Amino acid sequence: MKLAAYLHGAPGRLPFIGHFRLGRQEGPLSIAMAGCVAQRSDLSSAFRAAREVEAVLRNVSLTAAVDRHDLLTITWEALCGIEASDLGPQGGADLTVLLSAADQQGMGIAGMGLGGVWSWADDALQPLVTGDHPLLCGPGRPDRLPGVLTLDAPASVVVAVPYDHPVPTLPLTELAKNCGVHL
Amino acid sequence: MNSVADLDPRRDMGLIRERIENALSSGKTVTDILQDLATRNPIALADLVVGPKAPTHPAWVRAAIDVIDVLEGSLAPNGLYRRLVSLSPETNIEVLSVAARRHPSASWLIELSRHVEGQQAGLTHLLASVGHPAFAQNCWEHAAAGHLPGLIAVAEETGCPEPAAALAAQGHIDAAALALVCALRRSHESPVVAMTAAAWGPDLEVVLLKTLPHLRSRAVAETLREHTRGYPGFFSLLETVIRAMVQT
Repeated sequence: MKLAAYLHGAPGRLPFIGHFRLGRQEGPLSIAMAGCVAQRSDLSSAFRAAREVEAVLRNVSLTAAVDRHDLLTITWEALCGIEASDLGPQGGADLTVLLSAADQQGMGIAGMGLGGVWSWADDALQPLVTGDHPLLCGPGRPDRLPGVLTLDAPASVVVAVPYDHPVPTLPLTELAKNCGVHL
Repeated sequence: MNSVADLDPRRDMGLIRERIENALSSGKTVTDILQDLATRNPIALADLVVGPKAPTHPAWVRAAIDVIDVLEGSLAPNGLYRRLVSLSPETNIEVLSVAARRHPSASWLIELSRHVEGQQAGLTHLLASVGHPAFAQNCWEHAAAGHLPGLIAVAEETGCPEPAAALAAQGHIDAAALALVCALRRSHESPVVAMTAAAWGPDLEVVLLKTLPHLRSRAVAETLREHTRGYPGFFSLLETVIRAMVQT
């Protein structure tokens, strides 16, 4: 199953400062990630940091992964392996990321810096977590992968808002555009 | 002493108007008349300049620009500049330039620019507001109004990244790509790729691919390559394009 992860943009004219997004497939395994880093620093630093994250995630070997848990762990380790100096002035302490991984048995979602997470299908949004779920937490780059949310039913498109999004809700109107997705 | 110094603006408006018309038709300056009226009776001055019987001579509009401070004290800028533009097509750009310099963040300049500049709408306004905090907002408003050639011309002339970003944000992808190339042509250090990504979203390749037909110079193509190292698909394609280009 091909997965997509989208992170909602910030308010303002430049909603996607420091945003990154990537999807990969390795046989029956799929992973999608979206996030932002250094979003409050200058434009060029944030841009470089975001491309660095994408490059690391694009190049990390997934051949050792046998299931979605491995995918998430390998990806998280790759994120943690990025030099702090490559992640903008805060060295990755402001990292917001949404990871969605699937194997033949199910799906797992993990992340940092998220204020709300939904599945998006058939022009409808379904909230995946409630307010006190550990998936909803502040930004950063802890050494270990934070708790993983396991889904019984697969969600091929997952959308999140960052922890500091003004309102932790997600209107459907222009949702794709607001996530920087141009279909 | 000017030719209306002996007249009372409250009582002799018809005579003043007649003498102004005479001065204009004989090629004499009217600036001193306007400056005198500005001192004595700004309301009468405003009526003379933009009222229904206002002269339509270019020299009149230029003289009005000389006392624009006083006129703005009596009239709302939006209506004042619209009226000045309507008086003489020959001085339209001068009027628009003054309006843009004095009110760089005014939203009515978008419509006025279209009226005055047509296809190049936005050029005068945006060039006047480069460096002003309203510059980005102005780019976005002109992009929303569809003033594509004006924004591209501003990118070409300034190297600023905002025109390309604004065009991308409004979905004008081809124009955004051209503005991006123009900005890099002007300034190799322009953060135009970063800003366009910040406005458009992280998957910028669809915009970047549209730049290829506009790359006429190997130097600009190489600059673009430096800015797009983070997009390996496009980077690789651009390398191929560059290899096929002659050195310029």
